[in-house]
Amino acid sequence: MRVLRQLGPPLGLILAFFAGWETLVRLWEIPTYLLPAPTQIFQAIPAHLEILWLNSGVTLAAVGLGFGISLLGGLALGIAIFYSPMLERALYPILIASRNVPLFTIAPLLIVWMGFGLPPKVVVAVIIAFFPLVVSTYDGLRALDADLVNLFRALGATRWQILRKLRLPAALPFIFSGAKLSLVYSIIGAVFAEMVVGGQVWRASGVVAGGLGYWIRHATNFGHLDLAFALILWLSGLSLVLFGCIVWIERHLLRWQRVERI
Amino acid sequence: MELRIEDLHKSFPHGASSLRVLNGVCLEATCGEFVAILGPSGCGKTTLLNILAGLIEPDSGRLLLDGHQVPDYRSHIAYMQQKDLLLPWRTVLDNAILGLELQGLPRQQAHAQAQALLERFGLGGFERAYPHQLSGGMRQRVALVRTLLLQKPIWLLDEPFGALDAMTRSQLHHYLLQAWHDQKATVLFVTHDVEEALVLADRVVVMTARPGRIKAILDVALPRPRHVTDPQFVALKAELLELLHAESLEERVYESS
Repeated sequence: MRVLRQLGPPLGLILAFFAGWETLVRLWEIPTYLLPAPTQIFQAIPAHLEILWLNSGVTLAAVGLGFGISLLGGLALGIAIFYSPMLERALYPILIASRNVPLFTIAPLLIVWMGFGLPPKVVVAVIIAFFPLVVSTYDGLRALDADLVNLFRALGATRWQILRKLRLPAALPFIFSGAKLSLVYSIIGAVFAEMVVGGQVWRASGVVAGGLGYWIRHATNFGHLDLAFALILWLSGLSLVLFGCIVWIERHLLRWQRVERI
Repeated sequence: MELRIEDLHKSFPHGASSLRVLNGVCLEATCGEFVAILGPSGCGKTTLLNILAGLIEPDSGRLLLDGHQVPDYRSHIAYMQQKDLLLPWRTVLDNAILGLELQGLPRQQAHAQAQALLERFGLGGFERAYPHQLSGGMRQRVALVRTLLLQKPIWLLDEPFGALDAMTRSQLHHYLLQAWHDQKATVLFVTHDVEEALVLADRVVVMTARPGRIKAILDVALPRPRHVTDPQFVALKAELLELLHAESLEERVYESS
């Protein structure tokens, strides 16, 4: 019931949007190569299921690797910066500044250096997904009440115990905010890289497997706008599922935040 | 365990100069004695306990346990601060065992010990609750259980009940005295509340305004439980208030000069 109340209004709005779109396309007889109607887009999904399916795997591999590397690397670097004032002074300003630099534009260069395929996509994803995690981990570790550290010290805790049982759990809400941002960024990074990198023929089926990003560009170039929109819709669904996974893990690990007062 | 503090000095950097906080504090507590430390705010009471708990280094002075300087004296001391400092992500039970867990006791064993003490402190049934679900008094009781579970011979308590209402506070006094009686610990209890000091302590130590020294020591030779309306209690209270009042006046002079 609560879920329905939460999801009802946005879903209704989306439905109304699609209905208006459908009406306009039919009324003005807009051709598919300019703007397909929602019904055509939904029909394109089952018609091109093989493309969607195979390329989802390709894109997810890049996203998963990119996000995984960002997560582990970001946590490690965030902790390192926290414990080393020298690293902090040298790196932290660069990290903050780099958020305002469109680093992903080096994607075409990466093709020169790494060729086509998975590596350049993972690199682009990592380049933009890595920094939010470093910054949020570091900020989270820094936000701790000094009296809590004193409590642990008075209890005879080692530095490792203080990190594992105090600093990291306390930083967890920050880390999750960073991780959610980082996931979105790694999807953007991987798909953007796919648009630039291009595809390879999948030997078994003959389908070109360049990932969803490659296919969005390809379908647009050849006027298959129904397929392009279907791919975008499909990709949005995948993103939401991945995001939902993180939120689910977050709610589980931070369940103490949601417990009601007795 | 007997505790002796000899000529403790401590200053903190303060702008270009330094702020002298402790100025030759000497104090002793015999085995199983309950000593209250009373003083105007800012007189260095917390600094004194932080030094004894090993959180900060003194500039000079000695700390003797049973007459000896002990290198790992920290392992004989349990410290409870004014804030309850419960970890919001841990349940009551897991907060209570924190000290035992950090010392490497298996969780199951620690849980069993904590369970018994939580029940005695009226927290039975709340083991699985999180700190923000509890009242201030209950949170402080959990912090007290966490401190007492360590079974240390010396307890340092820094205004542990300062933020609580009078009813809750006197209830916690009862629990504390009971645990002190059971464990026969030596207690240093910092407070700025004269009545609290007199209800709890065998001796009350009055500190001067900053820089802190010991100004006076009063024996409280009254049987427990003590009653605030007892004429002897009232007389002692008047005496202590007099001492403190003089100190707070001096502090004002000191700060304006």
